[in-house]
Amino acid sequence: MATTLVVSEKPDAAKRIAESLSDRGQVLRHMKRGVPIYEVSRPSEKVYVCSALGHLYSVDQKRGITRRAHPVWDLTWKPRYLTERSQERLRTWIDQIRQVSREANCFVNACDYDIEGSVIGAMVLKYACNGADRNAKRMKFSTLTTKELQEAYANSSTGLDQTLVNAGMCRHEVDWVYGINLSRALTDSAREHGRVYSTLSTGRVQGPTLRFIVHREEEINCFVPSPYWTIETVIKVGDSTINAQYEKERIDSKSEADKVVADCEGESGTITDIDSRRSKIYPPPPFDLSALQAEAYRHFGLRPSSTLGIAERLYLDALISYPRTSSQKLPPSIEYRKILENLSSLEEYAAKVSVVLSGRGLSPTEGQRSDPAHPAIYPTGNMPHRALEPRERKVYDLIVRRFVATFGDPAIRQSEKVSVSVRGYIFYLKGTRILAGGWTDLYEPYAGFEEIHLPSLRIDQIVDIARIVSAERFTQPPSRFNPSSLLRLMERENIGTKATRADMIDTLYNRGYIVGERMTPTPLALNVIDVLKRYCPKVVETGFTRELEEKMQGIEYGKERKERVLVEAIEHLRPVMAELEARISEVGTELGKTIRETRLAQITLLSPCPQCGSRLVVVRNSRTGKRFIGCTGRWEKNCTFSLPLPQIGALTLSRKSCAKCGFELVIVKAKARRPMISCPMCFMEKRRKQAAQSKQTLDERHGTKDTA
Amino acid sequence: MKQRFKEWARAYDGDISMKEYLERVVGLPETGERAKEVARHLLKK
Repeated sequence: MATTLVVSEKPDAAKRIAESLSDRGQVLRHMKRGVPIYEVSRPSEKVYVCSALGHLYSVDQKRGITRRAHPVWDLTWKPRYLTERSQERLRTWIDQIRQVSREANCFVNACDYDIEGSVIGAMVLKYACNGADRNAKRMKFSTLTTKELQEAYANSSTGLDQTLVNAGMCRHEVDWVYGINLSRALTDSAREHGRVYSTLSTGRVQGPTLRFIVHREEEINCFVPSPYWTIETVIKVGDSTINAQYEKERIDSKSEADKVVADCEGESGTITDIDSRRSKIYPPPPFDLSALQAEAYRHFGLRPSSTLGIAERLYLDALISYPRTSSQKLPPSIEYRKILENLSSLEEYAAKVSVVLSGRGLSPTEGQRSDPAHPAIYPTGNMPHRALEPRERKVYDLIVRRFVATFGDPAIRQSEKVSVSVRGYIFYLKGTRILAGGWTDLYEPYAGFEEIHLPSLRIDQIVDIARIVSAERFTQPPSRFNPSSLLRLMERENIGTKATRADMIDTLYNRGYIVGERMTPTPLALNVIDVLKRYCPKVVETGFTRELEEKMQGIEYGKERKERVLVEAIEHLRPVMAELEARISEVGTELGKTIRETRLAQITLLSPCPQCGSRLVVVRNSRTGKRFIGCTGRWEKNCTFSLPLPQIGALTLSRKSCAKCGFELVIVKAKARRPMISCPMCFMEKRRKQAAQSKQTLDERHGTKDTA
Repeated sequence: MKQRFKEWARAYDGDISMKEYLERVVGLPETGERAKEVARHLLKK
């Protein structure tokens, strides 16, 4: 009897695959040292389904090279427990897969059908299953529904998707070579020549992405506004008043603006033209990952990485299709009618779905972009088997409504533009009215147009200027990036992949390079980019990264060879590293200075010492390890002022003052607890008062005893 | 900074001095921090 081992990407997916492949619905779950392996008996074969935990293998340097050495060009694939200390549990995981693979004589890669999934599965089959990647099969599916999984298993392709595997491996190897060499060079330069240790990182995608943010900050910092004027006009028609727009939206000279106001004030005008147009607004295309992330950020304020995480959970629950897609197309093979009928059993969608189902035919609006592996994101029509968390419910609702809306009719909007002439000056009254909601009714509350209703007007009608003023305005600086707009820019510039862009943004936050929802680069980021721009500008340029992305896509389509692309990337990096190594002392000194300044700023309080006026800083007692607020005037002015601080949790200075005493507040974040905001000065005062009170009580008691 | 002054001068029909321009630029929230520093420096000169 044949024994097949199916390798999936995540434990939840493994469970679902096992349940789908079981004919009688019976699945045996073996829990081997914490690793779930599912066993399914089919008429002619026994199937084991195991899972990876994301990547079980990663790129690392070859043996015999120290962890700080750079440049490093020799690389190899190793189990992740050897490259990351925190991944020790993967040792058992891989061992269990190895054990079960010994029983199998047929292997199937059932990881997500994309670059990462192909690499994860191929590496597990190659290293943990004794080279089984050579004759393994590939399951290709876009949803984890029973029907699709059964079909995918029955139609597994012979041989792995080698072009995808090669493209994925190449991406990992190139990113590793760039990241490890540049990051080590920067960190080491700061440690050796700047005499300060801090993990500084940059990479093939990280460098150009951070440069976008730094470049925008420079634009904002150097921005000088220009004045301009607008004419604000209110026109009276009968009993109602309407805001009107002057023909020029922006007037560049004060005298011209003043003249318009002076000439038109208190005057009457004549309606000279009424232009009324009807336009169709077509439904938006179904979601690809970027569009979903942008829309979720717009409506719910969810970061792209959070949206991706939520969408992946919904996918693992078989509620939506595979989210890491760049497709805006919905092929008929997904069976629109069946999905819509299933969705109609959910009360909140029943009415909207019945509108779509009662229409002429089912034909969704599609976008230009396509993905050879997956369709656009769509709901499978399966019912949730658990109560969704609030954020999951929101994202699911957004996906369902968008899917339903793509089948809607175009919305019909009527726009009116009424021209009013006042002493030769032209003003416009603009109105819009939605005549037919179409898809916007289906996409509520995520779609909607503002309507401005104009009263009935006719040509040659006389209207009065009720109010006219000129307002001085100034041009605005460009706005800072938010996660959504940065993601869009990365996509436009073709750097990173749909799967990695959101994580890259999170890395920038985690490295301390950017802060805030409106991304502001920290002094460290400004300095790192400044150094890289001066000493190795190629690292922060988008040109080479974009070119490399195109070549890696070429591997995916079988047009490029992996080895050639890797060699080219290394040859591009070699002179960059040589240049950086040659000027390592200058680079290190500058970085070291910035890191010290940044750290000092992080521990220095805004409030000065109430005793001597010197700066107050957060310090740690070298003997006891306890932290407290101390005065920098201790040595020069002999000031002994100090304040206690909470000892548990991560401490940050809030940069906000206490409403009671004006001292700077501190924030303490402990694990599994709410952040605590406290004022060290008020705390000290309270403690002093309590001590004085208890002393008084004690004294009174002693006094009473003595008297007795 | 000087180029932008030409725009300001045109906007106010020449009815603004360099000093006035710099003072207003320093006071505007739209002006960037580095631009404000330059304006302050020019004012001192």
